[in-house]
Amino acid sequence: MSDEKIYQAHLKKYCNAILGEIIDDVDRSEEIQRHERYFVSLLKPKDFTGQQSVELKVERDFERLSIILEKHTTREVKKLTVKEFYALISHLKEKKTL
Amino acid sequence: METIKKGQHTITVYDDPECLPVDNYYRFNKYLLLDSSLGSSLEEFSTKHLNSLYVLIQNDKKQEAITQVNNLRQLFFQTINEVNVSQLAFTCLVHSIDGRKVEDYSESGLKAIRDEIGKIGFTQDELKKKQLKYRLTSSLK
Repeated sequence: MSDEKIYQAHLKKYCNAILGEIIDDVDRSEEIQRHERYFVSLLKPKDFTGQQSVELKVERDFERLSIILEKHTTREVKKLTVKEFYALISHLKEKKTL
Repeated sequence: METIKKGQHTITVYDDPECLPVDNYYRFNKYLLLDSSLGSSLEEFSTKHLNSLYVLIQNDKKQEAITQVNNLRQLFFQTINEVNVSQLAFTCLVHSIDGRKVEDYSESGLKAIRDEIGKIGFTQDELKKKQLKYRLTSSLK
């Protein structure tokens, strides 16, 4: 079974267990906790410190993209509007120069 | 662009991708990312970080717990340096204040804009409402 299907199966059983507790008034806390442990196992906090920081990666990627795009336009890339910026990217993708 | 009036003062804010410079857009998104992951106030020490940390330790996820502690430390330094990323995200969208166009969107420049907006008399709640509106519209466009 794919990860997505396993996740959906846990989610369905988790919701059923919570609703079952309310509707049938029975204790299903053990089952609920089992599913919660699974959801927690998927938790992967992003790192915002050091050289591999997500913040630095976002900045680096934008700078890199700007440098690449500078070669294809006479205008300053960072001064382009959002609409112009993405229009330029899709134009270059169509021309297969990116 | 939208003009917001407060007493004698006016603030013009970008509200459309047709006029928003892409540099501001990336800064705006970066601060939103920081806000959603690290948080921007002391309350989030508990609601965001300590709760997750507790769960990660309970589940023997050592490496993830270390990352969470590092992020908690990052939020701590942000807070003591008065860096509120949620406010900084909004200031990335400010075009001009009382007709003066904003030119400096560096972190110190954004802090200066934030302070100026604060002096004009915008409360934290008003800014939150405006920011929520721009978050929603930027995700729709």
